[in-house]
Amino acid sequence: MPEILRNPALARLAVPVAEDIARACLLIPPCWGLESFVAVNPFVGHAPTPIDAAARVVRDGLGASLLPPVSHFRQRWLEGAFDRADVEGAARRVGVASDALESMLNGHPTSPGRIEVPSRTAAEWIDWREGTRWNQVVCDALARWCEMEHQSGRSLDAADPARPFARWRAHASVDLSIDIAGLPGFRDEIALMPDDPDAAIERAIDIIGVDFTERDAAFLRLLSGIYGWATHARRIAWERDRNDPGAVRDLLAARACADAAVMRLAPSTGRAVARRSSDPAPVGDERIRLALQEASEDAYCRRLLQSVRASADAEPDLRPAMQAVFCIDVRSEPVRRHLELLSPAVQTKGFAGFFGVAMEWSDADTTSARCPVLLKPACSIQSESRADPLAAGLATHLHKAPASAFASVEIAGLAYAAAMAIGESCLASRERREECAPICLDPESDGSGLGLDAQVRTAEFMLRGMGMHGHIAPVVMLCGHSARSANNPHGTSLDCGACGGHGGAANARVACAILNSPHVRDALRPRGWRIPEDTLFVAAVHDTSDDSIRMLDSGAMPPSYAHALRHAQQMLDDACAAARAERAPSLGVRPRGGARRLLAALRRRTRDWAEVRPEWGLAGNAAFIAARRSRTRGVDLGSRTFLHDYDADADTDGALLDLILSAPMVVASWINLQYLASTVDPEVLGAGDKVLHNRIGRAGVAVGNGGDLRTGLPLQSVQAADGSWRHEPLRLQVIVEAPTSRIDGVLANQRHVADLVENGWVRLFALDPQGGAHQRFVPGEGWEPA
Amino acid sequence: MDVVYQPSHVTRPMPLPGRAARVACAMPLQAVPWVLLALATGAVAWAATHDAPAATLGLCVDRVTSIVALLVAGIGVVACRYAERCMVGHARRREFLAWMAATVGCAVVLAMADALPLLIGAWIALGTCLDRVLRFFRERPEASTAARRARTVSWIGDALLVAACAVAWGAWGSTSVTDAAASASTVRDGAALTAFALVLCAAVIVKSAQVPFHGWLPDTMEAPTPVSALMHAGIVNAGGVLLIRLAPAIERVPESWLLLSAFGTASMVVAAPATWFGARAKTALAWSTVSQMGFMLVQCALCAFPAALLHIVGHGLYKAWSFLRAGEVPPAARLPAPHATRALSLLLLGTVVSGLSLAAWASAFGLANGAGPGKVALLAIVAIAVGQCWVALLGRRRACVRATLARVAASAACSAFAPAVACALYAAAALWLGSAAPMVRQGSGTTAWIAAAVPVTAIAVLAAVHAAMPALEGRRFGERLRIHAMNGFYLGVIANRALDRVNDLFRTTTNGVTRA
Repeated sequence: MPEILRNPALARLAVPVAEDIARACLLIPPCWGLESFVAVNPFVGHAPTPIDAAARVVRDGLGASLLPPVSHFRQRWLEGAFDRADVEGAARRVGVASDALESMLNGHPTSPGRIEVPSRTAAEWIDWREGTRWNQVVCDALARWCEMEHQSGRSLDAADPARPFARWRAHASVDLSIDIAGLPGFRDEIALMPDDPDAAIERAIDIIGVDFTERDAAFLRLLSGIYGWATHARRIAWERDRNDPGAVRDLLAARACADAAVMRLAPSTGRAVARRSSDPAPVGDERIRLALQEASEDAYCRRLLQSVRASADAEPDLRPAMQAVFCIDVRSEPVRRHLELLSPAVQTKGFAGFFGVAMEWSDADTTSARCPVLLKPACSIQSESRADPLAAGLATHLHKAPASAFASVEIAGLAYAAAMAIGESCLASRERREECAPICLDPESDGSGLGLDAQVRTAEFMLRGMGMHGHIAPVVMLCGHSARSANNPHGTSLDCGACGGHGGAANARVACAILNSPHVRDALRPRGWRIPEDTLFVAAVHDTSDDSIRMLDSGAMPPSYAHALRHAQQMLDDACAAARAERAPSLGVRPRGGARRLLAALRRRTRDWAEVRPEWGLAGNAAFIAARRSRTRGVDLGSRTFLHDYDADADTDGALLDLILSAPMVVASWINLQYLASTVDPEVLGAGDKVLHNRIGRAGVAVGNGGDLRTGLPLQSVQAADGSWRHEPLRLQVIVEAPTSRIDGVLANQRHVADLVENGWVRLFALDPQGGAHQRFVPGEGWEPA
Repeated sequence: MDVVYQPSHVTRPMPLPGRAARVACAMPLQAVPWVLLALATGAVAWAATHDAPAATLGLCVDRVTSIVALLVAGIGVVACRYAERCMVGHARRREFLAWMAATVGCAVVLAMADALPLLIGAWIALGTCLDRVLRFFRERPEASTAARRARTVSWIGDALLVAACAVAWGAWGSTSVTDAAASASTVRDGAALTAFALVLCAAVIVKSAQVPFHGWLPDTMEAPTPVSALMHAGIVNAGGVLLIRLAPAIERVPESWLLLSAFGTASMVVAAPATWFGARAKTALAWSTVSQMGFMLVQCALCAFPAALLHIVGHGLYKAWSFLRAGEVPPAARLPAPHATRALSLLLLGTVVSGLSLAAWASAFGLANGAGPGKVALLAIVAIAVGQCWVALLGRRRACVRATLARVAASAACSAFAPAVACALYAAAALWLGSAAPMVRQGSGTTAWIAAAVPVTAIAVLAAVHAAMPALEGRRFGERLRIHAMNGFYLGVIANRALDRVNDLFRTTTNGVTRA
């Protein structure tokens, strides 16, 4: 590099700072709030880079691990989880020496693959030299400001006329806390900064002296101090435009200004010159980790592919007695398996749990999007509101208002004793309004509701997606899922991700209402969809916390179906009991004393305010299978697979495959990478220990006193009570039953799917629809026999 | 064909249990709080049927100590059971449960201790146990910093209590709390009595996390949730209990009214706004405790000891419940803000109407005779509290006529019956404490009027600001108030710096960096 470019003043001319800023800000993933805590791929911004390169950036910038450490693989190796053949295959594909890997696994010291050179902020440098805590102090102050903004109902939205950065400057020039903490003059330093975030960042990095080649790393490092709130800001921008960093830029500007102010004000014995650590520590190279990761996944995948039936049995040309469509969620798999075992006349299908109804649901005073976060709601459905929000508002007001706060505890003291007794005896249960509130589909003047055309389009989309080409049973159950837990800030992380982090009941009910409508059925007939006259669509909800399934709206069903529905409910109960007995031991609940006792024990856990592991959610997820059910029917997949129905023969133009790989598969990979990140680095990318959680409004949780908003899942969601890990960090193994040429077509079409596959964020396998052969997609090389 | 792919987990070696844990294993931990609860229930039953206190084994069973012991043991049972479940999976769980049980035990002994050495011992032991549970996550640097500050404050409180006991023993030869209370009500030695009362008040102010010794309390979120429930509900109020038991000393020393009133009011003024703006559920609850304890000390300053006892019990239950369910995500409903003038006039109107109703009820319950400054102040605060229901119910405009009518009816009912409940509870508390304890025992005179006027004025101003706050949002004054209030008016930062300096002076070994 020419020496002249090392001069920051000239360097700035070479590359516009704004581009660097936007690039760094877009590395921050969006993170949803507690009312709809959907799983997010924490590395979504890194998707266009190969996974090992991204792991390096994440390590240096955020100080987080993306791939598990070598010690993890060593342990798995000693347990016999993968063998020499797996290591050799993985080493060949990744391009490292397999004997080196093997000697590493056998306990020889890791050879330093690269020297870690983490970036440091100016404040971190000063702290390191002087033993101070300025970095923490300024980060905490910024986090407090974000909390205050959230609490007062303003959002970190860059589209706000009062720009967040300007609001922060106004705040920081009033807030005395940093001045008092020992940096007098901090407020004046902030007041001197320009009003525009980009200009302020430019000024700040001039002061700090960031070399232009180091900008990316420095920006990411600055953002890492306020990572949680940055993800919160990114989500607000994401809902409008996915390529807009939004207020992340403002937060970066605030961080940079504060860092520059610390640099100017903090007493320090020398000037920070080097921007990177001068005490480099050797770390295991990310490529080595990647190779070992491949090897351990190969072992899992080999067994999985062996268990998939080599050939699809010809489906009997008989009308099934019942069809049940479940969400692709991994928790549906055991119930589906047990339901099918009960009777060959039962057919189950896997489809995304929003059943194709991308809607906005209005209930009392709240409105929420009930569709995958990758989609935008296409319609708005209202339920009749019954609850008066005043009661909750009154209690909050009286507990906070002076005088009444004091008097109310005296007056209501004994009531709290009763409340505590109820809480401790796990008696309080809550009903979900969306499971019973009347819904209205007809278009209203306020734009809510669905017109007939829209209903028909939705119905057609549903039927095609669910693969309803053959026979349609007299009873078709659309089964969403939801979870129950008490006193759990992350309760919605257990709900249906396809319904935007809510229970799936509302979507299932709306879908059934559409499909049962005679007008819709009439309109579908000319389009080639023949729903038999006697077919009834029934909505149901699978409670994943205690594995029970309830049919919804069954009171409104025609009486002629009473017998069939009773029979169906009986089968569901039997299947659920079997699934429950299978899943309960992993929660530490022993199926002792009969099925009823087990159900009661699980139900009690869902009401227990001290329960930190109400259920395992999607922990353990490892594979996504898009194939005909006959390939996996009867196979115990251990509640680890997302199962989506896909029949390549019926999808002549490949449009359905395109949809499956670009929507449900991507959602599954988000979930998978969320669990992977929360397991591999629970400190930085997970939400920490639940007993220390301090809920911040509805935005998220912090751990303990100070600090940032935490992203990701709590430790107790991935770690079992005995200290072992419930989730095994494997990337998503995507298995598609389709010709490779058709899959290639999708990869060529969908850039973001190709990014995931080619950069190693998921692994792709093709299953020959005609036979048992499988092929593996190797990034950079293409298909090879697996 | 049937293959199960349960992840064969990566097992983590469990650390070997420490000595404390090994000792704990020998003891059935679950039983400790239950036994204490049974004993406390027995004590309450005994006290209910006997007027005179009974002292045995250095413990005193009377109406105050038994009810407080019941409160602490009851909350202790819930907190320990809760901890047992929520700490599942922690390597040092049994050690933690052992310290929790020990904390409950110390708190119960402290509540009932009669002999002064036992009182001091329990007081110090409680601080030590608390320190252990607060520092339970010792790998977190934030936890140890917060716990160190808490410990320093605790030591200051310990030293002051020892000094107060020394005065009682030196001047009157008292060896027990009962003795000291008896001496305080009879002695003529003004200087010793004043010294005793003031040092005692200082000890209580420090131990009850009053400004400026409050900073550690909102910083204790580094401890697991059940610790917070136990601490806020059964431990920070221990000082108030002591004041109630040594009431004669307070009654006879008007200077102590001023001291308690000043610190209590300051704590309310600093901490109450911090709870309005606090976004963190548990931290806001901790701030609320500071202000609630401030109010309790104000009640002591007014010599309204039955009311103070009622407050200790009610607040303990409320706070424990609130902490234990702090993870519950509240509904999103955001109500429209009322107009400032509307809110203020509703507050004024509601207060006046409720005040009249309160006066009527008070005389019906026989609380009105001998109205002094203390009683007037107490009733005024209740009247403002009921007036705030009017703001909450009627402040938000709604189009629907039926809803408005329902709310007007609700406000009227609040004004009519909430004062009745309050009066009945005050009368019941006074009855429980015995015929010798009228509701308010404060004398009159300038000191009494000042001690009563300061907190009432402060609460009235706070209530007005709170009512007008939604309208002040976005205004310069409102924004500045919000920023400064959110930081607790910086008193915590200043006090923490001072505490850290004290720590630095005394520290012999150190692991973490505490500067700044």
